[in-house]
Amino acid sequence: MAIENIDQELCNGCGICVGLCPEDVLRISEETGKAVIRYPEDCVACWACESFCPVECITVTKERAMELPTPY
Amino acid sequence: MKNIEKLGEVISTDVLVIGGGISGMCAAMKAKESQVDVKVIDKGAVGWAGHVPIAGGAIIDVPPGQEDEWFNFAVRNGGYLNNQDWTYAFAENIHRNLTELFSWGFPFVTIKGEIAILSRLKDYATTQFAPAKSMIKLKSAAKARGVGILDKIFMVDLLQQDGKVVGAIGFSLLDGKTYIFHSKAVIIASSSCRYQRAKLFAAISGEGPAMAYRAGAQLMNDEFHNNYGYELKATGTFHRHAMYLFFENALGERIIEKYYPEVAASKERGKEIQDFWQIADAMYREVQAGRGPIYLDLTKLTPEEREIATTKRFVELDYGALPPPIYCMRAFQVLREKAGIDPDKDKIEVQPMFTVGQGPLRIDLNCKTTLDGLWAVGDAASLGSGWTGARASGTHPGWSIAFAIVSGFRGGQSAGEHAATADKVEIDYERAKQIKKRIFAPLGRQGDMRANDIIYQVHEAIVPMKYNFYREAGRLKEAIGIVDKARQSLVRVGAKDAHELMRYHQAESMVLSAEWDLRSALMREESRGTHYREDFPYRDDKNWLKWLVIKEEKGLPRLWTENVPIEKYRLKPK
Repeated sequence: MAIENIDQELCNGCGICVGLCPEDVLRISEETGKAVIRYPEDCVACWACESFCPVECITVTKERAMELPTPY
Repeated sequence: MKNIEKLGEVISTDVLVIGGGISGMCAAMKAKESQVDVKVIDKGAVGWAGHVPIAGGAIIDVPPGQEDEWFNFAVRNGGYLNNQDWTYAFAENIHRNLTELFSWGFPFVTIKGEIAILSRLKDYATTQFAPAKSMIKLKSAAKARGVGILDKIFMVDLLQQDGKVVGAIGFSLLDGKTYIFHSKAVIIASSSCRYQRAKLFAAISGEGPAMAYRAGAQLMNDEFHNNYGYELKATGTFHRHAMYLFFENALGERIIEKYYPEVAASKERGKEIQDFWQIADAMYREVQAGRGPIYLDLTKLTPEEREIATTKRFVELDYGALPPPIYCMRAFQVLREKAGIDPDKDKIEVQPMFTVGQGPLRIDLNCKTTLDGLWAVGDAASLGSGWTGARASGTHPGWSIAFAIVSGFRGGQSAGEHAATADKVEIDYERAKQIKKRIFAPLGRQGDMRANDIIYQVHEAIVPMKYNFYREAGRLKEAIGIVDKARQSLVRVGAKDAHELMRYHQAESMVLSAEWDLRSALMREESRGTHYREDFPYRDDKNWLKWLVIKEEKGLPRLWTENVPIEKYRLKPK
């Protein structure tokens, strides 16, 4: 599932998650000024957004959006 | 030059730094000392993006007086393939560079107001810092010096004129607007290509080496780009602690003791080795023998083992309001919260992780590439500099970031000095127009494949250990065939907006990098450092004390070798 939700009530629009996402998954909505998930198919579930969010409003599961070949 | 404005927004500067991570920001700070205009661009937000905030924590040091001892270790460890001038320059500069970085506000762990130097590891000293806000501090210092910063801009190609690099072209990820930077010096500080494989290094897809290669720059040492560690399978996290001592196969047998008894014995000395590829090897061989999967089992340790497993490897750091690094300090917390696995009660499945290594841009002691007007610092050029010889610096924790700092300082200073006296060379409109056309070609194109499909294909070629760890001529050719197909498929990928256009270019950068990795691996017919050839399993100094160089010629990579100038160097192999 990877990134699941950004709580639009709690989000304060600081933009940290948009800036640090390594895959450019997130945007600040022009209408609401809050962070939104724009490209969930590229989320790697690194938890950077969830960890750094100052109001803890982002939830990310453990699965990447895209499964990858194994080393074995 | 006024036609250029028809192509996009033109921004003029003296020194353009592509990438706002630690190497780029150090380069920007030093370039500014030449009183020139400096601008840093990042595809994320400077201060938050890149490796350091989520993966940082340790930086090695070479305290004054220890240069020779460290140098001897580094050259032996590098299989004598080092550019020993660079290796020694690192040893001579890291301590004073760290001191200067500290003076800029970088949050090191201190003892009595000085950077704390910890010597827990066998062969080198380490410092530690609080990573989460460290780049915000560096950003403040840079802004105070007048460094300009532009976020969320993705750079794709360099611009050249009269044999010089005169700028670069890219686009905004937010609104797709074209940006053309016109400069006297360009510094590539955008890391290497890590294929967006390990979560820790997911930001890194290789545009820096790719754009330099297309412009004609030389690459070097790319056969050592491979680097395998291990990860907790459920979460893709790991920690750099002696947990591998407790890896067991499905029969409950400890595996490290079997293959690397000296590594297992190191627990007696309370020290750890840092060669994680040995761990990957042990895991793979057990699984191939039918005794997998491999587990980390902490549920039945002896009291002595429990002490090793729980010893705080890092000094308690004050992370303030922000969390400690996910990938070391919080690995078990994440395992509990996200995967419902309790290390106190459950066995934890582990597997090899393709972490990949540093980048191959060839640079001299001043971080100049083989192109006039182009410098490269940090991970983009760490392999290519030759400072660690036959391995990527990422095989040891705290080394890559140390090189990012030393090279950032050197490259920034060199580029700044150049820009202070160089004339600006005009950008040719027709050439810029052609490059822009190439960059935007996928936009609006109907595609039946996505960039992620190409990326998946690249992973199929370079992740399996049978291709990229246990290398062998026949299998390497097979892997090269997979990458060839991926390259041919690129034309089937379209993009409907700036984000998808970026994904296309990231896939293209990864295809290029995989080609260099595998072709270099095929050419080096010996084993050395992290490059292991089943068909040539021994080190061959007689024929292979050489550097393998790559350059684009007529659209294809040309590879050749150059002798390591070992007669000039301090240390020679026996």
